[in-house]
Amino acid sequence: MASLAVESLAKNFGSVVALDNVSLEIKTGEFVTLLGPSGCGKTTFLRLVAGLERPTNGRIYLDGECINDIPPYRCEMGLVVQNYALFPHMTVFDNVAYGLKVRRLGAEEIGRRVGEALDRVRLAGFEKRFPRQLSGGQQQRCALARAIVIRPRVLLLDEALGALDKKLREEMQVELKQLQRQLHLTTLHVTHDQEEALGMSDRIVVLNHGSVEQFGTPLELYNHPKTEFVASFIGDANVFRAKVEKVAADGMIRARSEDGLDLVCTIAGAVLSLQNQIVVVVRPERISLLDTRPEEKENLFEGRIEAVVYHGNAAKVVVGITNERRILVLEPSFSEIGRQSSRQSGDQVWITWSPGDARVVRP
Amino acid sequence: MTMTPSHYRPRILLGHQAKAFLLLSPSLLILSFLGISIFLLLIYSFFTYSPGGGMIAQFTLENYTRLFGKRLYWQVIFNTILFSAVTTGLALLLGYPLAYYFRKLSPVKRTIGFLFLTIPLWTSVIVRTYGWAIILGRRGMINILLEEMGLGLMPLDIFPGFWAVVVALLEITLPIMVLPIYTSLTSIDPGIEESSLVLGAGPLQTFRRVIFPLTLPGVFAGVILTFVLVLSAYVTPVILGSTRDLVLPVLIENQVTNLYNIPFASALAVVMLVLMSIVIFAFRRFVRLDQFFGS
Repeated sequence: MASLAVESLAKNFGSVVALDNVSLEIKTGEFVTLLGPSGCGKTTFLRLVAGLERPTNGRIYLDGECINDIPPYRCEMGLVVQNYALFPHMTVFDNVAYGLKVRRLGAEEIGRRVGEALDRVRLAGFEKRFPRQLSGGQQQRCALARAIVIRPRVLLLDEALGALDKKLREEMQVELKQLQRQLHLTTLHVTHDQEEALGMSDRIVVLNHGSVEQFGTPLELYNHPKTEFVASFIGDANVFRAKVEKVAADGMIRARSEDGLDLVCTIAGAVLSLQNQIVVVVRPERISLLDTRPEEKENLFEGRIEAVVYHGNAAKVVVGITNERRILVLEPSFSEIGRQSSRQSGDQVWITWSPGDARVVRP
Repeated sequence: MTMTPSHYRPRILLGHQAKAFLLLSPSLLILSFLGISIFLLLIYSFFTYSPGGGMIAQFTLENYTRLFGKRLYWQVIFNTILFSAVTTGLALLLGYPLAYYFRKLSPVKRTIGFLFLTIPLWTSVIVRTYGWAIILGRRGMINILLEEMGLGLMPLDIFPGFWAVVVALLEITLPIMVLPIYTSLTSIDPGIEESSLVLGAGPLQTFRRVIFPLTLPGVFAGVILTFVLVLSAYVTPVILGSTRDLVLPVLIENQVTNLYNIPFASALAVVMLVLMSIVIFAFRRFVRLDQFFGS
């Protein structure tokens, strides 16, 4: 196991900038996810670390040693890709044994280690099958066994769960996470699936247009997004672009949104030097739905329900408060105030949130 | 109940089998012609030859006893196989690296490469072959060049002869070897090659353990096509070969046009067919194609 660091890493493909000046450090045994929309450079990052691409600029360090010029076959990495890339002409055993055979280990040790790896991924008994005789989930586990059997210094997962159906993917998330903890594997995981990222990672790197938007724990990213992109990419968010009107002594900001709504928020931890232009983010679950107008309150808007989407444990309610502005509210099923069974499109409601639940982020 | 659209016109309805038969009929026609001619070959090869008078429908084994009884004919069969084996081997040795190289080229360069590779196929076999005679001859282009360079190199003396035939056959079999190998190379998921590299196998090991085994179906197709093509080559050995390089197709032509010995020519043709079948089935066994196609 090893720690991984990159320093002002950049990669251009012709005139296209895939990755732009990225620096970050991943600790030994840490599970870090690169999260971002397609084309954000996350796969390029992974391929650079694996040695499959050469950086245009910057350096990659494995345990403090620069691996820029080391070819992929000397990097000692484990790689699992979305379509698994199993060797179709080899059995499960030979696929998993491959990395050990090319290292010229003895047949006895190969047999023992392959057996261990297959046990770990619950694929014992499938040794003689060919990849095409395995289900998607089994192929995925075979690819995982093939990657971990060589005891890689870093495990690289490129949308490794992306081809599985939802239920299987959720099971594999749990299994993979357990395996990673047991083996104390430094893991770099690439995905566009924010739920997967939030659920599995120790820390998440949010990438957009080849640059890091934010690097932090799932909790930090969700509760304290630094940018509008992070706020809207991770989880649902109501985003208001606003102009600061007044900053009160008690840390309250009064702002007016572009569509004319008066907002009040607190500068939690003063994450930004106050500019005139700010972005206010409110998570849907922080907003309350009321049937009647409450006492004088801040952030109180009257609106009409436009849609109700029931999710079992909660319902997503879309409330239109002006002609252009729709607010997404997540109302838990157990909510006392919410009477979801009776909520219908067209109902007149009041929505409100407390100033402390709004986040002020960089545009 | 389904509504019938107003523009619906009744049609003659055919069963699945009838439709399938109609669609297949052109190929069935061709296949039946091929089948009939092969069947006729087999029949004729047991007919009796009457010198000057064609053949008589009288059963005899004489054609075969003559064929297998004389050393000359064994030599011809051996020549034929030798030409095929040597040309196929060389085509594979030259063609595989070429296909591998093409894969790494940019699309434009690759197109140009394939153009040059396939130009020989567009040219008339006679023109092409006489071209080689001019190039390889004792006073041909290559020898003039060698002489001009004055390096004291021995003049190349391969025309007419075995190697002149092989060189000319290579020109035309190379594209046929390269194309299927190239196709199977490009059908390999790049991720598979990369997985092998990341797992610690260097480029050579990756080639030996992953790339080459995965291209075996292409190699198989190339080898079979080349082998069969050379086995049935007629013009090239006639023009570029010496009298010692007699092969089955030439012998067959000789029997038909000079001696009008259809029964013996048929027997020779049957031997050729058997040879081709043996090669195909032997190779199929050797490569174990089932490993790639279905379980």
